[in-house]
Amino acid sequence: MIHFQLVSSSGTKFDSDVYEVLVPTQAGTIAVFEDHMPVIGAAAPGVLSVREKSSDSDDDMEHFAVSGGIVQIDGKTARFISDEVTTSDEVSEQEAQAALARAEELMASADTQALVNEARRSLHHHIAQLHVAKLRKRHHQ
Amino acid sequence: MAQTQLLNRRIRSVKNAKQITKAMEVVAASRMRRVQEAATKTRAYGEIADSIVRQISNTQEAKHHPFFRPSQNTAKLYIVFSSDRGLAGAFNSNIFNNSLRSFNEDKKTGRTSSVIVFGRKGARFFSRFEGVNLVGEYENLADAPDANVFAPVIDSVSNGFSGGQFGVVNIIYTEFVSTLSQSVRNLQLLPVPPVEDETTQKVIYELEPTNDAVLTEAMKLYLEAQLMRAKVDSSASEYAMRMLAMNSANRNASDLIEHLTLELNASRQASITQEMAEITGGANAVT
Repeated sequence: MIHFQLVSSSGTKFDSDVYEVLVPTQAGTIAVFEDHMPVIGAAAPGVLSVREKSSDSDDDMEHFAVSGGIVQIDGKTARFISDEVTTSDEVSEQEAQAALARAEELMASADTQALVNEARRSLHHHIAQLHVAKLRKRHHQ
Repeated sequence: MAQTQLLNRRIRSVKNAKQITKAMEVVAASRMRRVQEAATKTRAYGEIADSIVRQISNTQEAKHHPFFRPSQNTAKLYIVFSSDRGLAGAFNSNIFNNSLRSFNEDKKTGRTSSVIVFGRKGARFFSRFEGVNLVGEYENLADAPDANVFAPVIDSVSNGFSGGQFGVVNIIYTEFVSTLSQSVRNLQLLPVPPVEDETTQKVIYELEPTNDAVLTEAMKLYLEAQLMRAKVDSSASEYAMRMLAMNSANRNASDLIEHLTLELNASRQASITQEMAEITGGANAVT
């Protein structure tokens, strides 16, 4: 087991011992287990998934939408810090769809490089949110 | 009679002022509690961001990065957190005094000072101040804003730092210790100050996917967390100081009302005594 902490600017979202964490990094998704080599990685906006027990199936995994951030892994602990983390309980498919439409509008109207970067990040985060909402819906069906 | 009317009018006006200060005290207290909760959450975020940057600063890659290496450039940028509104005791003047002390030290050592200021009061103060370059001003921020609110500031700080506009970045804000105690902090943000910490483990981390990508993302999170912590702590301190200021205004108003009421009673008693004397004098004259 590896101790996993997921912290956003609005508080700690997850803090427990887990079997596996799937982290979206800029070089692709990596799976983190106990005794993983020490890594500090730049994360990409996407879906972060947690398998609490080795016997849990993919449908039992807990999913979070993250807007990038940093992951620090040192064998026994893994910490993920991101400015925005959305749990699957916090988002519905309709809300995520509406937020995605707003982010697309923002992307179209952005006129400076900083705004374009922020809009792109927000767009990717909302795509991840929509994905998390769909995963949750599938899980409940 | 005229004196009694005047005193009545003054008592009424002090009572009205007291009602306002009482309401402001209650509002400040409830907002402070809300911001305090946000401060606890932001602190956890800030501490982790801090510890990750500390781990990165131990790596060889970071030692050559401009954000970690002491700079030859003497220009200094201050990010100052003031408030949008007044009536918060010495909140803003403490911040301004600390800033002025730093500007004077810079002047003595031949450094130039620039300022990015949060809050209307600070924007007004620094725009009138000569010898300091006001780079940016931000007003009407929420008490505990979203992290992306700071994106333009982080952008201008990173660009200015990499572009050589300034070699040191400091942050000046009021730290919330407790309801009764708040202190002004003046901390160096960039270059990241080296930490001689025995507890920092000497683990050698691999930076993935590239050193630059990790350093860029980590610095963004670090600056965001520091600005966020400073803003939330400043808001909590502002409300705590306003609450105390309004509480003492309330007490002063009560004292004043008591004093004026005594004066009013004396004046009314004097006029009654005078009327009685006049009646008795009149009756004596008739008999």
